[in-house]
Amino acid sequence: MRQALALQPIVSGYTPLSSVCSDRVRAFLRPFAVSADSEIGNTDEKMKRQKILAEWHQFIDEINLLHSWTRNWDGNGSAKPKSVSIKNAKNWGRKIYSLVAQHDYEWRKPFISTDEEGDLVLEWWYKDRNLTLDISGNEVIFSETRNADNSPKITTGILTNTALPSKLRWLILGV
Amino acid sequence: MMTPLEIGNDEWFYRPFQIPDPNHHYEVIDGMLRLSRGIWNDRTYTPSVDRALLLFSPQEAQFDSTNAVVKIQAKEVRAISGNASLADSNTSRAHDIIFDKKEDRPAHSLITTTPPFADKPTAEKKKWKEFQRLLSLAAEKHGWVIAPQEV
Repeated sequence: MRQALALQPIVSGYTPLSSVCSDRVRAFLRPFAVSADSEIGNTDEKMKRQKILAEWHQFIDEINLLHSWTRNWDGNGSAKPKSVSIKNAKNWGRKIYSLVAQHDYEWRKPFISTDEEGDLVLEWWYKDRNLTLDISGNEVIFSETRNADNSPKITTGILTNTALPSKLRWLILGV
Repeated sequence: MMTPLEIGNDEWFYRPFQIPDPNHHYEVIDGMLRLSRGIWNDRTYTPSVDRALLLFSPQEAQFDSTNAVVKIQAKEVRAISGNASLADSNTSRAHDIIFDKKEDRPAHSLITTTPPFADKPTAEKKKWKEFQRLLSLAAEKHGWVIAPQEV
C-alpha cells in the first residue's frame, strides 16, 4: 500500500530516464539502487522510480543554488553556505532518497537553507511532525519536533546511518 | 504603570527576513503555514525584532521592500522559558524581549536569553536551534504580516 500524503505529480507518463536526468545527476546516482532504466520492471514501477529521480534531481538543483548565496543572504548576517557542508548534504540526501525509494514513501521536498555559520539545514514537515537536519562537514544533528495540541516537544541528537531509517519512518508515518 | 522601556506581555513584534530563493523558507503544508527555523538566524543569538506599537505600519520593519514579515507576541517569547524541551539539567534559561532603540531603527528590540547561548559546545548550539524552532512555531500561527514576494 502506498503511504499517504499528497504530492503534486511531477511526471504524467513514462519517459526514459535519460530525458529527465542530467549527466551530473546520473553520475551522482550511480551507486543508487534506482539508477538505470534497465534495472526496473513494469511501467508503474518505472514511473514511480522516475518520479523519485525527478524529485532527487530537483533536490540537487536546489542545493546547488546555495553556492550562489552570498554572505548576509538573509539580511541577518548569516555566513555564505560552506562548500563542505553542501557536499555532505548531498551525500545524506542520497541516503535519504534511497530509503524513500526502498520503502515506497511519498516524498516531500525539504526546506533547504543554512544556519548562521553556513552549515546546511534541511527541514521537513508532515502533519504535526518536523524533522530538521543540521549538516556540517563532519556531522549531522537531527532535531525532531512534534507539535501536537500546540505543545511542542523537541528531541535532538547526532544522526547516524543506522538511526536514519527510524527517523524517516517517524517523520513520514508517525511511528 | 509601565514605562516606555518596559514591554508588556501583549505587545507585538515584527520580524523581517529576506528570502533568496522561493520555497526555501516557507510553505503551506497540510493547511498550515510552516516557517523555516532559519528566519531567526542570528550570529549573536539575539534575533532583532521591531516593536509594532512604535511603527505606523509593518512596512517600516522591512529593510528591503522584498522582505517578508512575521510577528510574535512578547508573552509567546517569554513562555518558551517554560518549554520542557529546552530544560537542561545544568542550565535553565529565561527568554525575553528588550527594547534596544537604534538611531536608524527606532523600534528595534532584541529577543534575549539569560544566561546567553554560547558559541560552543555543540550542546549549546542544539538548544539555540531548538529555541529558533519554538519561535517559528509561535510565529507561524499568526500567518504573514507581509507575505514574501515570489522571486
